Amino acid sequence: MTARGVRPVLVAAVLLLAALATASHAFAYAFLYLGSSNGVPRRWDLASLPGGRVPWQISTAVGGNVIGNRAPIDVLTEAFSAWESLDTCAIRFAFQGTRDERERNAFDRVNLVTLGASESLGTGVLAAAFLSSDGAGVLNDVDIVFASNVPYTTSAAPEPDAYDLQSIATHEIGHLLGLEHSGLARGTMAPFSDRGDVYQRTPHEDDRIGGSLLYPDGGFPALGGSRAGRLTLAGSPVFLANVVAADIDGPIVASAFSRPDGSYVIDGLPPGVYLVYAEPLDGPVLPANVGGFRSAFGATPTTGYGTFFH
Amino acid sequence: MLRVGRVAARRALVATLAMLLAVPGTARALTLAAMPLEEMTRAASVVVRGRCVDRQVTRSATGRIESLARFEVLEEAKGEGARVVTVRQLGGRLEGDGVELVVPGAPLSEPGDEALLFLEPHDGEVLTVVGLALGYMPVAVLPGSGAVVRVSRVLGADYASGGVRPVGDLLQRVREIDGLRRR
Repeated sequence: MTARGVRPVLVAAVLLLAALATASHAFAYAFLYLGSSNGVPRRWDLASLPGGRVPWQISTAVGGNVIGNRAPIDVLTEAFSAWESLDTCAIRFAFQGTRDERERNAFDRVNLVTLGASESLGTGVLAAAFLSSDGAGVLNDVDIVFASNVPYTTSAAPEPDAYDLQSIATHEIGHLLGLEHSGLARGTMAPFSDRGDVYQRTPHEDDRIGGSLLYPDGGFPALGGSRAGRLTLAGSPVFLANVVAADIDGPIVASAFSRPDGSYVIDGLPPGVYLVYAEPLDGPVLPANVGGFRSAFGATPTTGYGTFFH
Repeated sequence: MLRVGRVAARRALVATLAMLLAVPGTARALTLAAMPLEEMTRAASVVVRGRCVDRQVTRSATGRIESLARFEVLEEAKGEGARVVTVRQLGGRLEGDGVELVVPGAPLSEPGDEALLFLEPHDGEVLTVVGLALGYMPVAVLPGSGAVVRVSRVLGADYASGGVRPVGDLLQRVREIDGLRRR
């Protein structure tokens, strides 16, 4: 968290958006950009979907690694509902029943949730979302696969020895919306959790901002503020820095990643007074955790700098 | 723009740092595995520093889109001396179909990319990355520091401060861990 002998040219600022309200807690949001698109986010075209809702189905196959006193389908329904309940986000889903198929397929136009897939996701991988889109970034098939070799619980109460299915489902559904991993340590879209953790069940403020920017509703983001700038280091742009806006009283509100030209924009900020700073992604979240930025912009993340506070 | 007093700014800074540091030490990933270096080394059959030669996107009969990336082995810490390794990566773009599949947290390599790779068996001679992004550490060359990788505190107490470490140090640590395991 300290500058390592480099000349600190990273821009940081304290800004006033509106001094009337206090910002609520939030973390970072980011989008899953289309490869080589220079910043076109993947998202659903809700207007083209029946009833404006993203359909989903669940496989009837459930592995023996899933325990607990709730049915998986009920847990998944709760997880989808968590995103629907955001009052500034227009995303809506339609459950279309169960299927016997248990393997992902990028071309069948079935958004399948499967807890019984035969494929290995690799050592230690808990779940993965497979998003297919067309050349314009419009999502058309998203499958969510839960690993069959790690213990899951469906119970409402936290289980210290198992991963919470509802939390991880809520995270994966965030990907289904088009959200990338966030750059900060906590929040539904943060890539890290642990057995017994349940805090990802409810989208945090930054998750709300991210989802609402993709599918705005309820006047969003007109009621919020925006902060934009450009980061340079010794005259060169800084790519993939995590630019964080923190309420002046402490809570982190939102953040965004800088682009290859060093530019950044943090949208959807609630009224408040903010301290803005930039930091490298040097753990626990690393550039590889948000690899979509690398492929979307075709640039190598800048290294050799530390956090700089204004 | 409002200038904020030093006390208020310091208060925000301290609170922010506290929040950033409030991460469980034994964190696991939602889509990725956050394993200590010892566990990653045990899970991997091959640990190398490699440079991507090419990557081909494939479509399976069952509707999967995956990539096969070939890496020239520049240095090996664990393995059987292969000069080139083929790595299965999730996702890719099918040029003919215009379909692109992405898996958040799963890196896709481009020719010329260098990375420290922790690999495990997948299908025959094809390997896959341990823990998706965790077993894929992009290599950068810094003036005065040489080849380095960013490390995450989830790798263990030795890496609690994050930041960058020389590639050679990581490879040597992998050799030591693997050597202890073999005894």
